[in-house]
Amino acid sequence: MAKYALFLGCYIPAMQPFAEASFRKIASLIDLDLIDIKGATCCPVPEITRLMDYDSWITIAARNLALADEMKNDIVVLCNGCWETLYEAREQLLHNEDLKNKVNLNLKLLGKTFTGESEVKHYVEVLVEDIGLDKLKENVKVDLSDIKVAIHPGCKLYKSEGEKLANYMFDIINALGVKIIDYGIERVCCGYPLMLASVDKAIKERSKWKLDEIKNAGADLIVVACPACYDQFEKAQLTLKDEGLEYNLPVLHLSELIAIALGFKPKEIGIDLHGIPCQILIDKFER
Amino acid sequence: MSRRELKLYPLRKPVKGLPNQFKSPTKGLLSYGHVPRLSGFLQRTRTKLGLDKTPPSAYQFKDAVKDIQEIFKVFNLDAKFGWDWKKKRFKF
Repeated sequence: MAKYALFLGCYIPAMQPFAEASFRKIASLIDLDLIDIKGATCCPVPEITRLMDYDSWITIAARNLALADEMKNDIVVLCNGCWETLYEAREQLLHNEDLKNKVNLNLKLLGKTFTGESEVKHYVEVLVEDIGLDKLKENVKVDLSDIKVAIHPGCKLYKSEGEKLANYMFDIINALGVKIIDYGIERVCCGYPLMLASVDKAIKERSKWKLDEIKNAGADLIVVACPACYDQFEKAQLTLKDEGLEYNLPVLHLSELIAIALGFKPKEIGIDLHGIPCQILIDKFER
Repeated sequence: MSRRELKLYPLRKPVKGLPNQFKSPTKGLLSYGHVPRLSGFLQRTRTKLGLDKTPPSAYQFKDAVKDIQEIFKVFNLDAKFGWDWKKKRFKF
């Protein structure tokens, strides 16, 4: 059984618990042992803390990594932002001895040491490389071939080596037997980081562009791998609805789609709690 | 501006602090160790979904929040960004 230290981050446990619930349920089916990292904090968020002060960003990230080092388990991350921070911080610390010593000197005050023994993995990587697509396919219990999804991997997954994490997301959804709609601008950002500069620009020039293309391509729902992208697509739709533009495109975490394909009921994992109702999936189970 | 600089140059204009968009997430980080507050509604929702009422992170382990605060003090960010430890908000 594969064993991982689970890094939850902020948004998922405190705002989108359905993503956590579905991943924990998937793990129980596919022999993935998840151990919580007790006392983990915000990763911290790369778009803010890294810009605000690099030293504090890398020290807080190193503290989180040190907690997993103590557990002697690799880390599985459910959020693209957490993956970017923890992966990049670890790489920088492992390749710069001076920086590592400086950070460890500060961590010593907290009684912690970064060793870098624990690798950082996004959950799509764990599902494809450690669990395997065959095992996922074996466990599929619900036929979702009549559902058309638009995939939004998010910018950070495209930053992975050879874009492998973004490709893994497509591979997983193919393995579930769900129809993927090509809408042409998969690589474009959802607009979330732009919200820090201009809410109007982020929603009307970025999110709206994506939503228009996804709707025109005929998708039933959007699948994301990141809580920030989830939040942005829902927030944008609710904002644009006030201006008379209705998309009705449910946004789903990849973990939720997998959980449903593996036989968990939508309400069991909290899909009825979404801001944009995911009626297409709820109806499928209530028919 | 560091505390030492403030003593040396008491009339110097303080640093402007953080951009407004960064204040709320930073306040969250210093108060809960995470960006958002964990609301009562979300705690009840978590329980309904079979999860721990409070996630086993800094939301539950308050020593982790102290660690974050310590890191801010080490890099003098409280003075730099005008964080008021008593009132738990930014001074400017």
